[in-house]
This record gives sequence, structure tokens and C-alpha cells, in this order.
Amino acid sequence: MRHTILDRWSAGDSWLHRRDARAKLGCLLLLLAWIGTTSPFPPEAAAGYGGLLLVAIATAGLPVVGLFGRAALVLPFTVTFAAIALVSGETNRAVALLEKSYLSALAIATVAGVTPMPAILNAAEAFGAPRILITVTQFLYRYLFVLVEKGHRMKLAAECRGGFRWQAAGGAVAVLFGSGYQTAEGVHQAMLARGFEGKVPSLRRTHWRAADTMLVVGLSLALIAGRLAWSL
Amino acid sequence: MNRPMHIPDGFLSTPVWAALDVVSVPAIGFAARRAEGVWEESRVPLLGVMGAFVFAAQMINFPVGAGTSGHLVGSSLLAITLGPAAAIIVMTAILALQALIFQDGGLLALGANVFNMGVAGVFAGYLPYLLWSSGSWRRASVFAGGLLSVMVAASLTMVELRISGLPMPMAVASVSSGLFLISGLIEGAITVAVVSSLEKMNPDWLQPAPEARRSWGALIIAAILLASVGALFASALPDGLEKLAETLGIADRSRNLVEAPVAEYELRWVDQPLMRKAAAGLLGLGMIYGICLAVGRVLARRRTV
Amino acid sequence: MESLIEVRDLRFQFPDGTEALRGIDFRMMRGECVILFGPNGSGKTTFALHLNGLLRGKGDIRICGMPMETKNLAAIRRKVGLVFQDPDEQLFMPTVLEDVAFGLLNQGMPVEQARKAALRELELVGMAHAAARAPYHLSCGEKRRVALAGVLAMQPEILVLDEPTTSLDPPAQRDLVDLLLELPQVKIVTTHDGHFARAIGTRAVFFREGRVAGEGGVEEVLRRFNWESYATAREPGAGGFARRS
Repeated sequence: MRHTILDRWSAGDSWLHRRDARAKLGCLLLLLAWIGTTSPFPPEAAAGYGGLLLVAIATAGLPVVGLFGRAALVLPFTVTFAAIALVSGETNRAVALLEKSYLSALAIATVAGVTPMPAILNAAEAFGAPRILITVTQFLYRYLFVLVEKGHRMKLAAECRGGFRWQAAGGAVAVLFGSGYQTAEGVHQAMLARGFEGKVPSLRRTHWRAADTMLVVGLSLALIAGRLAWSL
Repeated sequence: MNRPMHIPDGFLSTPVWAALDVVSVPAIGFAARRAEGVWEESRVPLLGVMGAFVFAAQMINFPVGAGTSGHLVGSSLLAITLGPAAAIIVMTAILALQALIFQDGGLLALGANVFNMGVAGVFAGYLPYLLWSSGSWRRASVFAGGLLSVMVAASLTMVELRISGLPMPMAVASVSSGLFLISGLIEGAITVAVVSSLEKMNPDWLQPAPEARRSWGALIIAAILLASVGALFASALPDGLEKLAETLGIADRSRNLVEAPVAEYELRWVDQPLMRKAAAGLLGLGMIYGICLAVGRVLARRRTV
Repeated sequence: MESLIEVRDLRFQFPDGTEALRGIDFRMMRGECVILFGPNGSGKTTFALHLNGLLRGKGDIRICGMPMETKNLAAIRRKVGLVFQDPDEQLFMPTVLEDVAFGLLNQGMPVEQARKAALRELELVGMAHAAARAPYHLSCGEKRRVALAGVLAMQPEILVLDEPTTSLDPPAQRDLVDLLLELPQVKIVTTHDGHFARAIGTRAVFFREGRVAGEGGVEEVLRRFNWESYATAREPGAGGFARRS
């Protein structure tokens, strides 16, 4: 399952890994907005953003090829629309589409690679996401692997016998649904058995350190400086 | 084959993604408050597990013929089983994780994707069920839910891309509309297959066929408006769309800075009759949808009398 | 000597009408490790779920002298630690440490204290190295140990384990036996595994169709009901998958 590699990457220990998740999420949104509002999109911009992310990936000790490859997951969708733009005569837009979407995906993958999911969710809650949304996402992430594995095994089992026919596929999905309900019932009982009082507790503790302020301020300055330099 | 379109970052112009982020936040907040009222905290893990279920369900191939297969998208199924408020929350969680860990859809564009698939898609998927599920039209209502959830989400996506200034020659627009329709039909059929299996296993898993309630009336009207506005935008004023976008300043200006000598080429294709035909088709669809809703409401009222 | 668990004429029916328990009498004293044997569907797990009030049937249940009533549930659940059959359903928190600390935080323990206590429990079961990891990366044996740690953290007096050796490889089974023998709590264990039962059990109860069909020493019950798996010699003509008449 592809997402488990993020767990491995985000469990590392580097300066970036140790930064507060709120700082990292804030930086990510800032960077994405900056990339998104860079118009026009000259090659220097692409090089600048790409270089910035490359430095981040390298200092975090993450595999460069792995991350650049992961960002490439956006390409199939983007290439289609870029091709259409090209055919319509808008070369600059086509290139901008490719670069913006790729760099944005790379930025997201980088931050996901240095921030464990529970920390990301914590930061999202600090940013104002509703509690129920955070809890749902937390449990989704926890049981994603479990259920997808089951779905995968069902698919393999069906393929051994010639693949799904329509009604059988509907039944298989229903079985997965039922399995989800069963798992959730088990979780419910396990929660009650250990004294659940009405609120899912958290061990999370966040400390905002000077280094976190440095990260946010540093990135902001770099981005502003970059934009000023290009407009000169 | 019927993979839903998650808009990546970098596609939508700033006013568009920003506006949709602003619109999605209160929508999610409202859905969250409603869902918290219905689901007590010890039952919330089920919603998370159902989100995981959607990912798992997407592994199951439904044979469509000629070696291709379709997969469940799931927004209407979630609405029919968990109710629309919870479905919106689950869809938001799904879309957020898809953006973060699968690089499928952007983060700034998350508002747009949530709006298209998580809010509009859920409502469009639930509306027919709300109106017609208690009666002999049950199967049709489930099918319609699947169909509409995909079509509405896809249409909104196209509209947002267009008003961001993304070039969309009529050939592409008509082929896309055709593909969306096929995707919608597949989703409708898959949802029917799954729901009928669920009914056999445990009817309690499905939301009870509700009476059309006044508190949802406003939302029904909003949905109709959405459909008509969407159809309108994409259709009746093909040139107007671009001019409108430029007047509002929301089309991406980069186009005007392009030195490419063929800048005028793209304005010519808009006047072609085929584009108008495709546009009319979309308008027609919107009208049919509106009529179905109106008829459904009348029927619903009749039943409660 | 006072009994820790006292069950009298426990009856339970599922919502669909199936009679799962048809009058169970059961008693547990200090120092015991009682094995529950029986075919699938005979009511072993259903009975176990009654011991901490997750299921409520008719009849009399007393845990450490407390009758099974809603007002006592919180206290009873602190006395009875239930380890479920499926560790994935038990380890529902994002990291191992958070899961073990779950029960403690629910009891109102401050975060730092809960963190330390959870770490201690993990050390006890040999899983402290995995504290920050996500549960689904662990092997089945590791998951079961973490689940046990999470239950032990609440310092129960009674441990109930539902089929704890399922999917465990022999070394993991041996580790579990060693661990359980070290724990001071009284134990109730449902299992199909005769060897495991012999290693830890002081007495056994055989369930059939919602009733207690017999009880006695572990070896005695295994022999009386011919409850060995293929791994050991069995009596000829005893039947494998075919039903005994």
C-alpha cells in the first residue's frame, strides 16, 4: 500500500521533522498560495520553487527520487489538460499548468513526508477544523490499510475464479461494508471496555519553539524576496 | 474508467479556488454540527471506517464490457447509508487524505473538490432518495442518486475550470460531457447493485426512507438553483462565459501576457454551432433534472396527505 | 474465601431471537486460570462479553462483590480487563503509545503521567520500542502484546482473553504463555488450543449450545470431550469435520 511509505518517511529525525506541525502546515499553505499566485510563471520561478523543495527534501534525509516520483502522480491529469491548452495555442498556460501542479504536489508530498499523520491532524484542528472531521479522518487513516487489504484479497480471490460479475461485485462491496460495520462495532466495544467517557482522548503535546518561528519567517522572507527579485 | 476528477493545485484561478475554499468552510462546519448531533462520539469511528470502506470498495471491479471495468465513486452511497451530513464529513476526510497522501487533488483546491464532490455530489446523490425511496421508485431513486452525484460534481468541475480560463475546445467539452454521462450511468448502476445487496444483508444499514421535510426544502431549492445556474453558465451564453470571466477579472490573466501569435484563434471556436449544441444539451439536462425534482416534490407531498 | 466472579443462571438472547446462553452458573476464585472450551457458537465469547457488561443478560452476575448494574459499570470495567479476539479492533488509536494510554486518559489521569504509565506497560510486554509506531505496521503477535498492555495499564484484577493465540506463530505463543504466567491477575481464557490451555490453565469449563456441559481439570475436560486438534494423537473413529452423533 503506497501510503505506508509516508509513515516510514515521516518517522525520521531531522530539523524539519522536529518542527511543529502547525508551522509546517502553515508554511505549506503559504508556499502553495505563492505558487498558485505566481503569474506569469517563468522558468526561474519553477527553478526557485523546485530548488527550495529540493533543499527541504535533502535536509530532511528523504529520498529525492522517491519524492519527485511521488509528485509525478499528478502528471497524467495535468498532461491531458496541458496538451489541450497547447493545441489551443496557449503554450505558456500549458507549461504553467504542468509546473504549478507538479510543484504543488511536490510541496504537499514533502510536508507529508516530514510530518506524521496524527501531527498533521493535530495542526488541522489547531487551524480550526471541526473535531468530528478530525476524528473521522483519524479513524479513516487507521483502518484504511485494514479494509483496503481486505478489498484487495477479495479482488484476488475473485480473479482466481474468473473475475467479478456485476451482481457478485455488488455483493463484494456489500460484504466490505458489513466488514466495516463489524470492525466499527468491535472498536466501539473495545472503547467501552476501557472506560470511554464520551471524548476520544489525546496524548498530543505541542511546543512552539523559536526554530518554528524561524521556519515560518524564513520561508516568508525567501518567498517575498524571490517575488521582488523577479519583478525587478 | 470512471475515475472522479480531483482538481490539482495550479488549475483554478485565485478568485475561484479562494471563493470555493470560503464557501466550503461553513458548509463543512454546518455538516459537522449536524453530524455531531446525530452520531455520538463513540459511534464516530464508524464514519472513519466507512471512509476506509470507500477506498476498499474502489478496488472491486464491476465489468462494463470490452475489458473495461467501473468502480464505485461512493458519494451517493455514503449519503444513502449515513445521511447527508455525515456523508459530507466522510467525503471531506476522504478528499483531504487523497490530497495529502495520494497527491490526488490539491490542498488549496480542496475547497473546490469538497464543494463539487463532498457537498454538491452528496446532495445530488441524496435528493432523489429523499424524494422517491419510499415506494416503487426506490431502485430508480438510488440509480438517479448515483447518476446525479457524478454528473453534478463533474459539471461543477468543468465550470470551475472554464471560468478559471482553462481552454476547453468544444470537441473536448462534448467528449467530456459524454464521458461524465457514462460515468454517471455506471455509478448509478453500481450503487443500485450495492444497495440491493446491502438490503438483503441488513436493511438497517440504509437510511430510512424519509418524508420530504420542510427543513430540507430550502436545500432542495438551493440544489435546483445550483443545477440551473450550472447548466446556464456552461450553456446559454458560450461567449458570455469568457467575457463574464474576463470582466470579473477571474480568468487567469497570463493568457493576455502570452506572446503567442495565435491568441485570437481561441475566440473563433466559441462561435461554432457544435459548441452551442453541446451547450444546449447541458441546459436540457439541467431542465430535465429540475423537472424531475419538481415532480418528485409533488409526489412526496401527495404521499404524506 | 470470597469469589471474584459469581454468575448465577445467566441467560441471553440476541435481538434476532437466538438463545446464546441458557442458564450459565460460574464461579471464579483467586489464583485461578479458567479455560473455556467449546464449539464455535457455543456461547464462550458471548459469556465473556457479559463479564464487563458489554452485553447484559438475565440472571445474576457479581464482579468482586459488585452486582452488574449500570451504576457499577465503570467500576466493573476497571476490574475486568477484556482482550478481544481481533487486535485490529482493539488497537484503534493512531500510535501504540496512545492506544495503551487510552484507558488511563479516560480515567482522568494527567497526560504526562499517563504517558509514563503506558510506557511502563509497554516495557512489561516487550513492546516499548514500538511506542511511536502505527498499529497496522505490527505483526499479529506484536499487536496482541500491545492490546494486552493497553488492558493491563488499567490494572484490572481479572483478565479475560478471547482466543489469544489465533494467528500466532509458535515462538509468539510461547512468549504469550510466559507473559501470562508472570501476571498476578486471575484469568479466563477462551481457546481451541489444547497445548496452550494445558500450559496456563488451572481448570476448564466446556460450553455447548449455551450451557455448561462439563467442568474439571484441563486434561480431564480435554479428554472427556475429545477436544484435541490433529497435532496430537486422537482416538480412532472420533470424527474430524464430520459431526459426532
